[in-house]
Amino acid sequence: MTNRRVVVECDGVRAEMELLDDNAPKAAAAVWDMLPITDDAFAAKWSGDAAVIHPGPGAVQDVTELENPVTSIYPGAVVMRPRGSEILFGHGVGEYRWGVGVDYVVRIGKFVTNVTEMLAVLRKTETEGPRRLTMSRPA
Amino acid sequence: MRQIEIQVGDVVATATLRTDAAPELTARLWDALPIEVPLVHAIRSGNCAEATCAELVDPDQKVESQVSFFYPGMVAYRPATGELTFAYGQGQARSETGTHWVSYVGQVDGSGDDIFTAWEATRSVGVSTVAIRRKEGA
Repeated sequence: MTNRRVVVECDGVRAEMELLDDNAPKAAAAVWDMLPITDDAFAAKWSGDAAVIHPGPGAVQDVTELENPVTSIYPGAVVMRPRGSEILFGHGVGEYRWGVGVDYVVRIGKFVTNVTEMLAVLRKTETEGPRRLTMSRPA
Repeated sequence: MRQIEIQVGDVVATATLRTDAAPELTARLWDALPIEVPLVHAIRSGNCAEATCAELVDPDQKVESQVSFFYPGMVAYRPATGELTFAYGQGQARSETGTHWVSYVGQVDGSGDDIFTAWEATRSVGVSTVAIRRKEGA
């Protein structure tokens, strides 16, 4: 089965993210159900080179398990916390951390088009403040 | 007692240097003042803002009064990189490779609410500027 695509738009840049249905079927399905998701993407303050959004209430809150958990957040990777409290978009060296240390997330996607441009926009959150980001189904 | 003023935008706070606990590093900082450098929000160390000053770099300097955790109002100095950290909430000195030690060199006097807001705002507005100078009469 071909993984579904999600359109991510941020600061005038449009990229497609492959939704990792095979790696995290429950989390991916929940994210798909909630689309479109729009939020301000802030620079992470614990996890390094990653931009963070908070999807808000919806299907992701019912996803409690860690499907193939990881801690590292590589450039272009999109990860989510169980219960969907936050989604992070990696643009450099990242590892999921918070106040008490390292923790696990689920890989829900990876950018597959316009990657360089999208990562550059996400990186700007570190020095220029938050950027409005939208995740949506392709038209 | 040595005191410094830390300014971000129109907000000025006073901090007392911990000269007894960190005599060499507080002296190094004092001697470098005044400085004015970019201030950014931390991306690994939590609720704090960070600035780097080339004059403060000294890879051979021992970390005095070493800490890793940050609490509100702490001013920390990492001599290996010349980095100053200004904590407005809970944090920890972390880099790509993990946790490290920094020197606890100063503490904001009073409640610090206004300067904490200014430090936290770097996450919302991006790069700001921090000016640090000796407090007159100190």
